[in-house]
Amino acid sequence: MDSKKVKKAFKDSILSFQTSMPILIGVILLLGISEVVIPSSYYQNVFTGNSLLDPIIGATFGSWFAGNPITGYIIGGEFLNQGVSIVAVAAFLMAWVTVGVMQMPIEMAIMGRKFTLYRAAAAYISAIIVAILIALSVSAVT
Amino acid sequence: MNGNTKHYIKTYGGWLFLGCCVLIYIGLMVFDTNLGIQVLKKFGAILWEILPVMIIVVLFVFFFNLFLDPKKISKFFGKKSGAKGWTLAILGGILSSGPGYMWYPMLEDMRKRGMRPSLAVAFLYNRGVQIPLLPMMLFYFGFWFTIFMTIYMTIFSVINGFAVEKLIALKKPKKIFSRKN
Repeated sequence: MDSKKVKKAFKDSILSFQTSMPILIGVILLLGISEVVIPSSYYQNVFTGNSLLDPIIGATFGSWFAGNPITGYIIGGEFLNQGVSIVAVAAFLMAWVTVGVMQMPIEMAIMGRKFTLYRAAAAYISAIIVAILIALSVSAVT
Repeated sequence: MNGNTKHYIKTYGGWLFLGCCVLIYIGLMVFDTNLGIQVLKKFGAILWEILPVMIIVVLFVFFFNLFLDPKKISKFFGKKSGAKGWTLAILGGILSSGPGYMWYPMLEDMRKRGMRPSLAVAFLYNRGVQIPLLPMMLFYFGFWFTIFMTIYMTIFSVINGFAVEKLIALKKPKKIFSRKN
């Protein structure tokens, strides 16, 4: 194999990370702060019990406080145990794994502002629609 | 905003953002040292968790740069890739591990080589379906919730992909009257 080609490929792959590294570290720092500073019990107090309003609240909170999926599952599981409706939990979980407002600076820097904003907006709206569909489907089969 | 400012933000924006995050952290450390240490531990834990994925992604980008030229990318993920492109993007999203932001450099690299934006959206959206985490999801939410969420996510990844691609393609309406007039 051409050693020049290998060197160039290696250099390009390192360069693509070099530009995103400071943003990546900043986002991880913010995630660390949010996961420590905001206790999971805080999320439980924001739901109203209103079946129309709760999926919107769920999707909004899921969008803002996104973390890794495992944390989302644990918080979502706690919500269900606390009596939060399935549609609100589904919206929260969907937005948690698909929107990611906290990760937007890095996404904008790498993928572009237009792409990021449209993707996040579509994911937010979808989170609410999918949550309603999940709640309807689950109640239909159980 | 003039060209120099734009260039400055593009070159040093990441470092400015990191600087702001570090300042927030220093503020936290000054006001509550215990909390600051907890945050630092959490930061270390997250960094340690994503390190293997970071290495995998760098290797992926390296091999893409080495073996995939724009023609091949267009064949697999370009405008004429069709169902094959969608299937690869969806499967890629489901099978990829670690946080989504780790995959941005690779996706942007592929987009520059001809990947459709809709397929990048589908890839990112399907990252919500994580096969290794399915047992955990089943444990917390039950069988039907997990099944329906997985199915709807896959379907909506395609819908979102099309929607974002159409929105990106939209052009700003031309101004009828300019200021000079």
